[in-house]
Amino acid sequence: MIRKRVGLPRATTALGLLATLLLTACAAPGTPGTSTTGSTSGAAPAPAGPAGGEVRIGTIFPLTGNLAFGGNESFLGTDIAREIINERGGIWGGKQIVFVKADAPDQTAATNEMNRLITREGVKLVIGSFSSAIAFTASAVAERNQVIFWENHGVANDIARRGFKYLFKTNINAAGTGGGAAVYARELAPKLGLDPKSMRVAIAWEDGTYGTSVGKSAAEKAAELGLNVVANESYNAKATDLSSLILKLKSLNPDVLIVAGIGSDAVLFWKQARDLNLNVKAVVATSGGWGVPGFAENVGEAANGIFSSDFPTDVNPKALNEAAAKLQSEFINRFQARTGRKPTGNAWLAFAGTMLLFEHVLPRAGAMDVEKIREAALALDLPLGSMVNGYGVKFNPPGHPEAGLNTRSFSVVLQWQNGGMKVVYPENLANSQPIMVPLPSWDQRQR
Amino acid sequence: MAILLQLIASGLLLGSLYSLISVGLTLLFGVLRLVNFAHGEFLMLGMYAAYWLHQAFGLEAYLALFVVGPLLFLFGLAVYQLVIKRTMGAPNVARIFATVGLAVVLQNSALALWTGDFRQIQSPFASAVLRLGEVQVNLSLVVAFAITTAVSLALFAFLKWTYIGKAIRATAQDRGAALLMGIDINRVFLVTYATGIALVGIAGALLTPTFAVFPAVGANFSLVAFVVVVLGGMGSIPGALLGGLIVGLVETFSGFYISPALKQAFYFILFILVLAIRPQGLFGQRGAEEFGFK
Amino acid sequence: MYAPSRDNLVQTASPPAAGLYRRYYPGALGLVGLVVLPLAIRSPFYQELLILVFLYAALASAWNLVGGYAGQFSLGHAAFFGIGAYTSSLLFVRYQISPWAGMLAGVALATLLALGIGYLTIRLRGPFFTLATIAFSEVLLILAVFFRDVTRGSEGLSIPFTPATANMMFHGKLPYVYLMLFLMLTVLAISFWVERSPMGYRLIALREDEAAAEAVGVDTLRAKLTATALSAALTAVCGTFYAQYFLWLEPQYAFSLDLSTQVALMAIIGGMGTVWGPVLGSALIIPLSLFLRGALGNAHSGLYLIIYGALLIVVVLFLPEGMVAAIRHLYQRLPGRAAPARR
Repeated sequence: MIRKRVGLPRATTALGLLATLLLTACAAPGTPGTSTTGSTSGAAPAPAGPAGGEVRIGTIFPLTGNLAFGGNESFLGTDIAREIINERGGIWGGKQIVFVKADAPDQTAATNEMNRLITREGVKLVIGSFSSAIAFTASAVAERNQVIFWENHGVANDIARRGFKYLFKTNINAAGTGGGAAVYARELAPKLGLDPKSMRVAIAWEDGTYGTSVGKSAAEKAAELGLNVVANESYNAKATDLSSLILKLKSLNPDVLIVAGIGSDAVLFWKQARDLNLNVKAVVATSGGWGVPGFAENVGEAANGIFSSDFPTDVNPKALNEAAAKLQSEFINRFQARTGRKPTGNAWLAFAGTMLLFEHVLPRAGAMDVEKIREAALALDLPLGSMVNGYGVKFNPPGHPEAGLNTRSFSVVLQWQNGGMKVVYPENLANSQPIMVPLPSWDQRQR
Repeated sequence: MAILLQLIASGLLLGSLYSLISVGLTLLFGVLRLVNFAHGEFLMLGMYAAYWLHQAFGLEAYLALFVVGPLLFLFGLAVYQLVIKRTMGAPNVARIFATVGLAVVLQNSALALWTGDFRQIQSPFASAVLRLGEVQVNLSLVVAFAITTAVSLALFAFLKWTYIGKAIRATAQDRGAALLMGIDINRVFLVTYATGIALVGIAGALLTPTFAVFPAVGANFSLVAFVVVVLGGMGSIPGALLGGLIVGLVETFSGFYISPALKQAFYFILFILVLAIRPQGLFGQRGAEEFGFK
Repeated sequence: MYAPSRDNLVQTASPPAAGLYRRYYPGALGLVGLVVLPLAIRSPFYQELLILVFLYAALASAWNLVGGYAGQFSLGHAAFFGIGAYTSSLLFVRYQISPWAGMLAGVALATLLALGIGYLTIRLRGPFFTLATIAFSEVLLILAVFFRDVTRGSEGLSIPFTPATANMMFHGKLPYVYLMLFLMLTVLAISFWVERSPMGYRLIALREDEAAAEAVGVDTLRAKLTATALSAALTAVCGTFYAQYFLWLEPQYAFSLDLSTQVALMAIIGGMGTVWGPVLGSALIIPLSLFLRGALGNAHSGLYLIIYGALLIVVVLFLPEGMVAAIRHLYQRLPGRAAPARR
């Protein structure tokens, strides 16, 4: 190998550059008085309340990398809650809430960032995290350091099955969304004129953390309900082609398809299902990539008719209490003002869970005291319809096998109708009726 | 029988996309001896360029590629002058990591500029399906197949008959001799690099009707492109074409008959086997793998 | 082949021996410093920083044995890391076998795999070898996801926190700091030994010119396989240590190309084929990425990574042979120093 000598001036410059950089990097965040926090939206810093002081709360989401789309969306929902509370005058006698934002594109980063938030930034409460994998690791660090981890998203069943004391999970598990898909498939059977025992069900799921937990829950529930499962296939969400999967499913001739996709794989799946003429009588998806606005933008008309066992979005306001109903429209307006589109299920979860924390938990706790916040959260007993997405609140107490899980969370069934998602099940939350049952074949549809 | 034909058709069309993505990579591989880990990110830029041209001017992806190609060519010139040129004498590992750094910068610049949302062009081609008996294929894939062929022929002609093309081939075969014959090697590298980037940009534009674009999309395609290039023999354009088709077929067949979850493993295994048995690849110069790049 | 031993160097007391003697000084001082340093650090944030720096330094040093000394540029070391991490963790979670024993099982598996890979790819050079190693680790990643009955697949493998020395789990971070320090020093000692052993000379000979090495009678096949196996075994040990600290594994990280790339990057930035290079690389990259993310994470999504990537480019452009070479070069140019003795 021919090696070039490193010239002295170049080497000196580079080493000097590196040393300076390291020094500044090390010095900047640690220097007393220089806060690395600030307004998280990139706008002007939030004005300090007249009563003075601020409340520092950590947030951790995957803001870069593969999950960036969901992480940023969820952060936005969280941030709008902060904005509303601060405009109302903050909490605890006029203190403004300030987020210390952390980016965790993978699990090692999640551990590092949690340590930074807790030990360097000194936060006692962290909100997260969109991704199940990140929720897992981040909450473990919080638990070890006795810091509250407020999880509004991660659906993997095991997150709340580790006996953690400082973890609160406001939303439903994979068992809820995945299992909910199987339950709804069974509900559909009579409408399709089929016997649930002989109705052919195919399950396909992406093999990441999300799809695996949801797909597995769907398969378990389907077996429990005695459905005739003819396929249970996994695939990689990064695959550039799903035609072999589609053809395999097609050869099994399913009546109903249960699918768990995380992102753009959902778009690819459905486009290729159309190209290869895979006809089924109903599709029940499980949120993820099938439930984001990008899905309909990308597949167009073909989205209509697809069901999704999903997180509640803009549920029928009649099912909400007065305060929640008011908040619902306020959230939609603010979200639209910031992005020009409607919030997705994940943004709703983020907003609803964070508002719960800011409106009901922190005021009762009265101060940034971990034990008081725990007590305040555990003492909550709010009926269904109290949270802006229709959830009620009752956390499982410590010692329960699913300690910290909100028992009054649930999944709903949404359906793509005219390019938007409508709540069609259960009845009391529905803002629309199911359409296109059974799903017309591709030949009958306008392509 | 119908399923067999369908699998072949789907596999070949998928493979042609892989071929097109890999042609640019094999050129960089063969001439500059550069393992370009930022290849997927240039593909991503090509996809975004086509997407924004479509959003701003309503330009169809198949017309956009005439703009995207030159655009990425210019971008390639700039990147070469700023980064790649300075690595030409450096050890191979330093060059690999310069492209890794480039990939990180490009991917996160896209994230900062255009967010992590999935974006896709709605094209009449993308929703049209051709049916030949039992076999059905998406029109946009057929068009991509045709364009791949056309681009490859054009590239072949460029390398065969133009002066700079001949210079590129000479440099690929023997750098020292090319230098002695009075070829301006730096210029050859510059043009080759920019051409390689332009080719992958064109591939990106062609993908937009079929695939959504987002900042991390490149990673999904870059590994398979490496497989194709080595399978076909580095630096060989017919090799890249054939390699792409083979990988497409392997993926489709193993996905159908064995498991969709394992299909990527099969082309990696095929790749390892080819390297173990015929290390120079299908069309590669014998012994290239033994000398490596010095 | 001549192998310098410390005894005869001291006895002869020739100028190079004195030079060598002097060269051990900073090393010994540094060692004492490393052992004392963790005691002075109370903040868990900095303790974790040390843990990561030591762990990745160990990984990069293990990689350096095959990537640096033998010049076999692998980007598939995550395969060995994942095998080590998953073997010991699965044995522990499913059969309550101590990770210390599980670690040995992981080492055995990784060594076998390394020999298999080495045998298949032995003729390959340069990018061909690199790409083949990537393919291997990708196949393992896919298999680890697919056989979820064994590995729990993408749902991830969570290791219950049951602190005990036998379980390689401890309260607080300080024991981990020393655990990782011990790991790093072990790998460094092995590197040091390899560099000065006949095997080291064989490896360097084959890296510089394989045909010439063979001509003078070096069994290149055996040298390469030995280096690969040793490197894989040490990487597997690092995998076990990682798992016992983080207590959570998923295939997408343990077998990832990102991990392989990061480890190789540290060795390169620091200086491939040198004992201290990987340590310097890790001590630079880990704090840099952590502090950049901390300082700029609040700003626009991705900004800190743009800066990180740009820095990466600058460093490899200006220091293509790594920091150790640059420092050595500077040192030799200091006023009053004799002309460079090496090279």
